[in-house]
Amino acid sequence: MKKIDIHVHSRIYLTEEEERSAITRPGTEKLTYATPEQIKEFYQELGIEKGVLLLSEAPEGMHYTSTNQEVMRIVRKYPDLFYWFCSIDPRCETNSNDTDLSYYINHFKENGAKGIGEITIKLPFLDGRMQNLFKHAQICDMPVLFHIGTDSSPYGIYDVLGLKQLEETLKRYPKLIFIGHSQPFWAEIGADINEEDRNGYPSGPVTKAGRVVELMRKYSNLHSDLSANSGFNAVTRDPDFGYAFLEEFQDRIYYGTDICSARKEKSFKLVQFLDQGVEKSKLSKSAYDKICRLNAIRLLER
Amino acid sequence: MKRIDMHIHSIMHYDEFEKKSDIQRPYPNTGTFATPEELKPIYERLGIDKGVLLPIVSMEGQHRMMSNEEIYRIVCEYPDMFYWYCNVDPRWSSNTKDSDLGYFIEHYKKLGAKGIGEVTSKLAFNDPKMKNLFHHAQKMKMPLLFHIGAEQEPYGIFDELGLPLLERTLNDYPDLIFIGHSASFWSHISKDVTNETRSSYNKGPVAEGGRIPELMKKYPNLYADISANSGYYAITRDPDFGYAFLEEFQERLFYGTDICAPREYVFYNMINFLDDGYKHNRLSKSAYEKVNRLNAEKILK
Repeated sequence: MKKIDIHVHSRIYLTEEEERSAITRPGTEKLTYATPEQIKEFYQELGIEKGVLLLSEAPEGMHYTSTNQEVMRIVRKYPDLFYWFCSIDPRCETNSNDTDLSYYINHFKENGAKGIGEITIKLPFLDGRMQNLFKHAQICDMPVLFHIGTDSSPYGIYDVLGLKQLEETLKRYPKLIFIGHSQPFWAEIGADINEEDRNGYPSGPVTKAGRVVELMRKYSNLHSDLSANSGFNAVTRDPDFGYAFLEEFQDRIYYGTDICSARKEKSFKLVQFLDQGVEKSKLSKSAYDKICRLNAIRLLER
Repeated sequence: MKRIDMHIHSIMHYDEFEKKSDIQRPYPNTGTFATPEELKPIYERLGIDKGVLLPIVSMEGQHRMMSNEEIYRIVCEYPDMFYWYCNVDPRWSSNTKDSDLGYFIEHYKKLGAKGIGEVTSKLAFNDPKMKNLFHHAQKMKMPLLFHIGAEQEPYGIFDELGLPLLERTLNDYPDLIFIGHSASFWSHISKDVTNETRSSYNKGPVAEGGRIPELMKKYPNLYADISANSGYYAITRDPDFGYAFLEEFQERLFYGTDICAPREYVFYNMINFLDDGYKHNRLSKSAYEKVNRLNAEKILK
């Protein structure tokens, strides 16, 4: 069964000059988002049929300004390779708590967007403008995929340790599908974390279930993606716990990569972890199929 | 003499589908940014030779972004029509007060960007991240064109009434050329500006002693563009004052349009105000030429 990748980023160059002059992330590796052609190769290796292109127009933490227009251009060119989510920054237009964000969401929905994200804006969940975004996303029936940030993260919706603002938001918008992602989200799979661990990849056995487990049990509108090293680490750090977690929430978890450059990531090994789960009878075929593909299809082909 | 437009925005589509599917502003008749082809006849009519394309990379107050890459793409396709500034949001990269923003500025400078702007991020002038942008802009010798916003405005660098934070900034970065713009900037041409009037296009006689003339006298690194309705009303609301202002600061003022959609604007009349001033000896030839073109040529070299 071919996988669907719920979380990928890309950019394209229309001319050779654009490729030559592309801005890369600061640092010696000179990395930037992978092109669709580079992603194709990874997808072949990982058994992925199609991915969901995500973007954020928020400036926080960025090295390059992706735009809805560019992502629409990529999807038009590669319709068999990508779905897409749109970017909505609640600071747009009037930059207030009552901007009509439905206008923007519906525009992109009509142009094929299947959700909103990756939301990386550095505002707290309970900021009036963020709440306005959730309100309109719910009205427009568009799932939101988000990155949580701490005080010290360059980007991500801000929440405190224990994800109390996320919980309040899940309560306020019960019909909105929230897809969680990022280190500060996944770090809370175990209860044993402190402020310093939130941006890292806590390792070792999960001795006590954390807030992510608790929130997923309590709120059926909380979903999550397994992408990036954060998702990979969370479900593999304690394999028995990880497989049980996947089994329990098999209807609301999505396979994903978060490929952010043309570089192989440690998290690519998630494929083996999932495959081995089935081989060793630690993961049911039903959970495997849903996580790898069927949940995404249900969300994207509604 | 053909004019140079110091302040212009544009977008480009590759086919009809892209044009049709592009997001428009939600208000009637406001559309979206003009394409180069839509700008051409307007430039012809206004006697403009070339404009300075300004990207928008901060979503505050916008309906659509214009990345550096999109603007560079336009400049590559229309090299005779445009110069360009790059834009840098101080929250990029590490989103800290010591992010190496020089990395981004240098990259785009090498691609021909002549400055930075229009800076519209809604952070205060004295926010450490904003100061970091000024620090790197000064280091890279790149002029910075900015939009000032009051608290109730959706975008623009925040300053209080009276622009005390801008003054401190001008003082702290003496080698950085600051190009002022926006309603909240130009309303300070008159001393009687209040919190209620600072975001408006104020009309009628200018009260002597406004902060803009004061800051321009005091700080040789403060420049201004007279684009948009804000610049237009500031200069034309009191013609004698306006011509004297242009005359006094003729070395540091730039003609500009800030066309944000292919439609009619009141500020198109700025050219008549300038031309009439010159014709009727209310504006010297030297001031007229510098404001319309020569100052821009100098800064865009």
